[in-house]
Amino acid sequence: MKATHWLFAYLAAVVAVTFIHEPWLLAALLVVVLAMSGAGRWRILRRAVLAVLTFNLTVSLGYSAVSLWQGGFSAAYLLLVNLRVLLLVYLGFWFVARVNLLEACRFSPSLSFVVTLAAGQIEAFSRALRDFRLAFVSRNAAAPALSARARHAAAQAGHLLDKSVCMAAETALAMRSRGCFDDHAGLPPLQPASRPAPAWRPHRSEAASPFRKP
Amino acid sequence: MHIPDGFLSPQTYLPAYAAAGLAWAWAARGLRRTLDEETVPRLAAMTALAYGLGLVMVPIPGGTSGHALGVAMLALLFGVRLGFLAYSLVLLLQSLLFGAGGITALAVNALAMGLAGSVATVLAFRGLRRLNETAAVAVAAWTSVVLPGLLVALALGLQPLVAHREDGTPLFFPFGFAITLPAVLIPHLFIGAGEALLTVMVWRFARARKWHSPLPLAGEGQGERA
Amino acid sequence: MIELTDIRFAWPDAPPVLDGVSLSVREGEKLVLLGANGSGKSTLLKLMNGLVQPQSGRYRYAGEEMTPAKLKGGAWTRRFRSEVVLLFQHPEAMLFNPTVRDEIAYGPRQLGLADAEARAERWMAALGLTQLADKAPFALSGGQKQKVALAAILALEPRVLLLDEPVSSLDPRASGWLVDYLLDCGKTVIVSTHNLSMAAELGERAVVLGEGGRLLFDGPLQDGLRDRVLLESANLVHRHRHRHDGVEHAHTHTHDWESSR
Repeated sequence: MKATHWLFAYLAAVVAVTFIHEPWLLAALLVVVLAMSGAGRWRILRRAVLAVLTFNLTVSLGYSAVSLWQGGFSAAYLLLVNLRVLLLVYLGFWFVARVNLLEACRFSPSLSFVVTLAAGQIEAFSRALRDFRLAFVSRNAAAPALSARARHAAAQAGHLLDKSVCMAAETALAMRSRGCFDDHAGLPPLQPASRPAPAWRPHRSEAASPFRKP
Repeated sequence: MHIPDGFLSPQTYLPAYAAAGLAWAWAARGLRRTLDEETVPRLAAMTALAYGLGLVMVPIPGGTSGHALGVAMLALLFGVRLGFLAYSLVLLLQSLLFGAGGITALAVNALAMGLAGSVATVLAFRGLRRLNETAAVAVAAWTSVVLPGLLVALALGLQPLVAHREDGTPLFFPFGFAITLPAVLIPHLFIGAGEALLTVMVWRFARARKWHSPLPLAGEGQGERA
Repeated sequence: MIELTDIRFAWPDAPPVLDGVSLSVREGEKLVLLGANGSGKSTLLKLMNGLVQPQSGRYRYAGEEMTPAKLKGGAWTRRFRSEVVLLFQHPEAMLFNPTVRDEIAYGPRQLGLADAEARAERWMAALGLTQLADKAPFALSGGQKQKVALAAILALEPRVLLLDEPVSSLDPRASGWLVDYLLDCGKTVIVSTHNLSMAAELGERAVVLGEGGRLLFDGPLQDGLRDRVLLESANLVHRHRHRHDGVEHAHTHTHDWESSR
């Protein structure tokens, strides 16, 4: 249940942070979180900064331009929003690095199944689509026409559709085969067979083989 | 529409989660009724499909490419409930497994893209298919991109109104409707065109394949109800 | 013609799949790339087709250094893509045109060749695809898709053929045709396979990739196929107990993996 606790702790932390409107408090929390993160902290921080850079820069510059022109510019606001976003994104990356979502979903078996199955198929799809992209580059000696690019996108989508329909059918069969849909509630426990199982006899090794050696 | 955490106020995302929770319960119950033991494998496959579609780059008028969305495809081929749940799960996996962030925006995105997008698709398709099926698919797909864009632009533009200090300084996203609406909608008009093209081609592919899904194709009026 | 020097490559967020690989291929050579699944054969072929850049090391084609800038477009890209072609392991990744004929004619048409249609007809005939000419590629079986993909790249009449597991889904007739074609074509051919019985037919020189991305062997094919220790360390043969002729023993051997399907 530990992973699930971390999940709810993360969610609670996110909600709590969005109720804080003092930049210094957010900065302090960021320092605390960095301290708690252990060895990977700078890598996570770097990833977090890179992840929000474009969007935050655009919003910050846009806000500065609009509010300097229309009046009402607040440097405190810029500090607040950027610190908040950085802290939240950092928490998100930290969560993903420390906690396995698939484990955290154990509180709901159905959700757990769905998420695990989907994650596996997503890996396969990502690799397949990578091959599609590379093959398209390989087959185009000159810049491809719009129609070719459109067809290429459609071919990828078609491939995904085919594979996912097959996957749904196969997985259903596999789950049935493993007894996932059988309801054993109310049945008595399975009795062991009346005959004892045959004793395990190891095969003779090469050296001890009584047969002719070639 | 990737909105990093920290730009949506709790006054927005908490009610959004409440609404999304109800919508998820509605969708899940409906699916269990029609699919029962096949729900889990089907939903997993559709989630992977939705995620994969988001990786496909579609040419957009104007020369660039953008990521496809696939909401229209899923809604037209598999129905609103499956599409909505699959997209919600994709958003969940993206933010908590693949580290793309955006957990606060998840409910807004799920409602805007997954639900509103799917419902608009099916309504537009059913309304227009009598005139011309291909055009109906194209318009439905275009709507499946533009309507969620509008909703997200509204959600963002709302922030300065619902979350500000006494002196009017914003606390979350700083721009009002006057900026968010054109800034978000205009690109989406073009992205929608790319999505329409892809969806039409895939629709034809699915038809030509005569491909068999255990669920009847949603456009035929059986099975799923929007 | 192809010169790889100390290539090191890793896919994002993965350990290196090629580590210190150096290789030199002369024009007209027929090379067989051997290695177990996951040993980096496909990656090496993609690298030779200019689809991925190594993290370190150099790749020269026809004396020209292959850099990302060179492959951005323009005359060099055109020349390279028409001279060096790759058949992917999963050929469906290569197909995106509405009919088989369009698929095979795509490359020549893109290059603006006047005889594009004639080439398409010729290569369809060579691979026995004429009856399928107007069918959609996605509707074909695995083996047919592989033939279409093969025809599509051969139609460019390239100088270098990079083939990733080309016989894995081909039926015996088609794979027989392919073996004859490769021997007679005079082009530079690099074929990857983990099917040792076919490997002997596909070239004169063998390059063996081991698990970990290092080159374990580079030399005459027959020598490589005879070296049981090498093959076992590259996970191309195995040993397990088996019985034949009333005798039970264990020794390294191969099976005809997927050689007749």
